[in-house]
Amino acid sequence: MTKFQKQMLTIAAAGALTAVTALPAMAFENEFHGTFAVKTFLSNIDGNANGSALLTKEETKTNNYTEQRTRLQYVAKASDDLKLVTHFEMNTLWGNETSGGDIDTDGNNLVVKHAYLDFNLGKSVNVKAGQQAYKDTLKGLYVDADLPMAYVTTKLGAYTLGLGYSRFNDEDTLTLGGNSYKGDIAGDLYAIDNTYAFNKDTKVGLSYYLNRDDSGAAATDTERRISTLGLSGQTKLGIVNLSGFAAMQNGYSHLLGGLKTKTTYHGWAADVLATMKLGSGTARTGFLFTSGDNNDKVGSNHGWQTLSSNAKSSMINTYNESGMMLLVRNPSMGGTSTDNYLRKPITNIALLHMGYDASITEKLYANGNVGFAWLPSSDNLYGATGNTTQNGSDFLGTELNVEVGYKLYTNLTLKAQAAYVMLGGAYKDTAVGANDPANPFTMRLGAHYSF
Amino acid sequence: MKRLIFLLLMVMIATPVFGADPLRIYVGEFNAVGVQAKEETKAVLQSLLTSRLNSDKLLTVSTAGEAEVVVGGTYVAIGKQYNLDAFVKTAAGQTVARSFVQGEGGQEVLFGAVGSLAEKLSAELLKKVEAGSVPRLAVTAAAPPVAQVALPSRPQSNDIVRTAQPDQPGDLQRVPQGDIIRPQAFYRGSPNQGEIKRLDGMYNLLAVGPSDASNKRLLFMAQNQSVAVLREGETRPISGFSLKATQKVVGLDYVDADGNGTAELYVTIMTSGEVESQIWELKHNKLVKLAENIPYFLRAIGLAGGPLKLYAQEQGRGDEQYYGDVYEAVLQGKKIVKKAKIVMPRYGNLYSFNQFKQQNGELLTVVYHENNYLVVYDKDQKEVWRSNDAFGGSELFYQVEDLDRVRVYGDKYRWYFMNQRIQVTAKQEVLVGKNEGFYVLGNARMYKKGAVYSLYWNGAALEEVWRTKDTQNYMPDFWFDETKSQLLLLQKTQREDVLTRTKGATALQIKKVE
Repeated sequence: MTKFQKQMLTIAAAGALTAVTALPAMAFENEFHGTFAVKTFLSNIDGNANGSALLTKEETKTNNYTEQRTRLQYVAKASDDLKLVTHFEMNTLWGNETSGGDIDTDGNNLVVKHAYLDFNLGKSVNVKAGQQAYKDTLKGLYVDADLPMAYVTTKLGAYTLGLGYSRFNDEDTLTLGGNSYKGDIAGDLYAIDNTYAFNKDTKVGLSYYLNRDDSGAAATDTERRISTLGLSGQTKLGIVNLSGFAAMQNGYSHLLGGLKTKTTYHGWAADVLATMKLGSGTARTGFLFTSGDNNDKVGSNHGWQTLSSNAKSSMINTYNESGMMLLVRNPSMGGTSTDNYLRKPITNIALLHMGYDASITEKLYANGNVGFAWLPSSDNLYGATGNTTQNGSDFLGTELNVEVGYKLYTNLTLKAQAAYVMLGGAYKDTAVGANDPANPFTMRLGAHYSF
Repeated sequence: MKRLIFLLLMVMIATPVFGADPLRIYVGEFNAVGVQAKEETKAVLQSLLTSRLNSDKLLTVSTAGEAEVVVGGTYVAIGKQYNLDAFVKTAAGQTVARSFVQGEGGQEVLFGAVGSLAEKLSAELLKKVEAGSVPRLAVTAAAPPVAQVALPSRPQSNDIVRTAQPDQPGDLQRVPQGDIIRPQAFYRGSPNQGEIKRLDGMYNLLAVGPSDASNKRLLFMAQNQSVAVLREGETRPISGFSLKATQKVVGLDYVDADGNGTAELYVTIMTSGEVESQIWELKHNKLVKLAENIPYFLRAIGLAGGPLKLYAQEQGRGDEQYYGDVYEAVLQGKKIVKKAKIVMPRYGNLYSFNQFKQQNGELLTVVYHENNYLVVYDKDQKEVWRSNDAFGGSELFYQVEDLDRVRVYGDKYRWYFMNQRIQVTAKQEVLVGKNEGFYVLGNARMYKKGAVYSLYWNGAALEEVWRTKDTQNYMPDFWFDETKSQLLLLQKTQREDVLTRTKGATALQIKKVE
């Protein structure tokens, strides 16, 4: 090695060292978050087939099982205006081989929940592009899901405009030269969210969602176009926080096969919610209405639709404000992968609910909720559950639930939950043998760690 | 065998003595009277004596700053007679040794005369060193490889670490110098110099009140759900109050905001996720509530080292917890009335900002970035500097229910963490806390040590002036009492543990900043 080469090597090494020591100046930040929940169940509804529970039996067996969910989030912040967000999930049902719940726990159960870039274009525009969480402005009653999506937010003073596009299903499998193409047999969502904040407590929103679902491939599937227009708002009156929304849907579908029969859609939904601090806790009460379809008119559907994929309403809407554990999907009381509901997706239900979240001490809390549910389309059960008995009444049932938690450490909470639904007249004689189905119940014990 | 052990012990005891560091001396400039080529002679004398004094027990150094003693002297020549006089002084100016030689001859005899002088002075000086008359600085270089008896190694005078040499040397000690060259720094003070009290309970916040006749301050301290008033040096609160299970104290400040001459205690409280602050007053050693349900975050700040004033900011929703601008606020009756507005730069909010003046009088704003960097903005809210080190850091948080995010995060609540206060002194020094710890991950925070840093704007960046020694525990809050030049530090010395029924403990330490 010549003297010159040695000098160059020394300079290069010094340069590399400088680069390494200069790293902090680039302000690259690593941010980690995560949750871990383990829960054990005794229930005649949780752990059953995913979707709205079909209550068809007078006598039920009790599922006893345990599951866990791990979520890890890593955020790589390159600068104040650019970050990469990744979120991973591992669900394991104890005893289930594919989810890693078998002996030696070797199942491959890691999924990418989110992976997206989040960056700013100047001071007013933010872009999120990639697999991300999206929740509508209608409290999640239309869509509350993880989607591959591009979402651009523009903030102009008190006004915020959100524009989103998602391709969440593409069934095309043909190669070049065929009659189909990528994006042909596909499902898309277009979203426009307008919000205007009058002050820190009061804002209104006007949203429009267009769901184009051409992803069904069977002759009995449909091509769907459903538009959803919703008005939402929130404010504070004295000590009462008020929020609500009203939304209507309009659209159509054509059968892919046969005569390409057309069906029109006219669903609607509305909600009002009030919360207030009361004593040593928070009281809440609300009313939700989502329309149903009586199945009595061919060519017309009045049921509230969620985001559609493969020509079917997906099960990804939520109503977290309800406090319910069994009547409607509510991840804030569930939170793992096997909890089940009478309404999942949430449609065809009128729900009056009230609850109280009490802080007994700094570490001990207890929540109690009661919900009364009716069927807006009372003929809905008829036929849908395979029975031939008309509904006894529109009353779906009453849910009573309670949750008690203890914050053992700052980040670890131990929880006990119990819920019971007394089925109403709508279910009278609807079980096999013209009997009343058994009342759903669940009891859960869990530990929840979050950081 | 016993003799062998005894011998080993003797060696172990003796080794530090024989292995003691040489005394560092600096030979300063000599006076020369009645000689030709005066300047040259002075330099020659200094150089010669430096050379002759150097031995295994005396180490001559090149600057007075590095030396433990300084040698000076005078050379007087009258006719053919000469007198060479030398003295040794400590850094504090005390003369510890003196010697002289005299004789006949011109400058040519100086070589021998300086040698004689060095011999006499050296003998005199070493005698004084052995007698302990010469104050030595602690040995801070790498410890000699001796078999250490398990004696408690007591850290030396290191409350405050300075990066610049202070005006008066006092009990300065040199920072250890290894292979890595560091800026010169000195330790000052000793752990015993600061008063420390252990208090039962996990205190998060501290506000300092006036001193009484015995010069003891009133201290207001808050845990999650209680506030206590203590007299400095005492562990038993003289008054206090508790809050409901739904409430949590996130801010505590003591300031006179109604101009009546008596300060009030402003307690920022979150109730079920909404800010509902309270105002209390100490009357006859008892806290009395003046107002409650104040819908503002509150904080007392002395902007740019000015007088403490009350500031307020509204609470927003979601990401925008600190809504709108920060306002100077006054108390009128039972209400907080907003006055002058202070527009916040990016990342600025009531709890993350202060201001200071740079040399030309321009007002700059310093804030904690969301990742705890310090960011300095000019008057147009334009960023002019950002630190590479993260400062601040707090374990204190409040939670707000957020059902929009629960499906994704699996947590019904969003966590909002508070931060350390930024204090600016009248000298425009920016005081910030700095907590560090390995187990600080997302919303799980467990800091292990903390310190207070004093930073000064040098025209281009905030430069460290001094900092406290790291605490051995998380430092939730601090306050610099400028009138007494004392730092009051809170340390969480023991964490709460439900399973072992440990309620936790806090230490309040008071350190003198010289």
